[in-house]
Amino acid sequence: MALSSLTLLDAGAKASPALDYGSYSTVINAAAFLFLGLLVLGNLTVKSRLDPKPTPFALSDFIDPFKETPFFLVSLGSFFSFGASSCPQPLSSSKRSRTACLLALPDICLPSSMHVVSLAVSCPVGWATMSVVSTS
Amino acid sequence: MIVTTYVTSILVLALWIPSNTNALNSIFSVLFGFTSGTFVSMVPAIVAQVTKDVRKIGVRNGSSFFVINLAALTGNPIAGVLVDKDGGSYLYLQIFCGITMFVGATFFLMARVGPGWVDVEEGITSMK
Repeated sequence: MALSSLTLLDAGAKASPALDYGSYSTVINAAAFLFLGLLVLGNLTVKSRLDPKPTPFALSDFIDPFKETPFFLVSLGSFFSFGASSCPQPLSSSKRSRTACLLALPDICLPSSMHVVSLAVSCPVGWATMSVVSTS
Repeated sequence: MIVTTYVTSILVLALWIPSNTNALNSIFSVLFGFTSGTFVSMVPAIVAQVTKDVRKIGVRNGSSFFVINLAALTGNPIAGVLVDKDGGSYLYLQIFCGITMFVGATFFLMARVGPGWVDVEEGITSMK
């Protein structure tokens, strides 16, 4: 999703030379609201064909897999691989927009409140969804 | 999976760092997208492969994506800070990216050859 939003951003930046990189955050906001609107639409309109069966929530279900060696190693491997692969994503072929993208990212992301909020929201929601989806 | 992740890290270290033209950068982007697509899309499949109990696949994918979530959230800001530290140049970022990718690939390899790996057929027969 990050990749697609940034590709969108670069395409927009090239299409309209009048777009100033000072408005980078505006474009990011626009992309975020686009996602929000589409996700709201999808959440409201898509209905599960099979009824979900809620299962009791147990935190140990999420922690226990890490005690198995292969799962732990796979998780660790994907952690590093994804951490590395999200680095080159903001780059495009144009040096100017590359620098603009990369230098603007920490300014947007690091004022931390956004990060903390998104982490705090996305983790429980993801876990709850997964625990509902997984039938046991 | 292991092979393409190693190829990705080698691409970053061997093609991206020496590349200085737009053409080389574009070629790198194409190849990087090709090889990194493997582990982006195959992690849930591999989590399913190391899961003996089919009913637990969902919850284990959730745990796995939680770990990935932390990496994906921190990756971009780290990239920006590394470029800042290098004064707008990309060398630090490229080295960090390549080495981190290499470490990730090594962990995948360890998971495959290390103890406790279950094959799909074995897992299915143990279910019966």
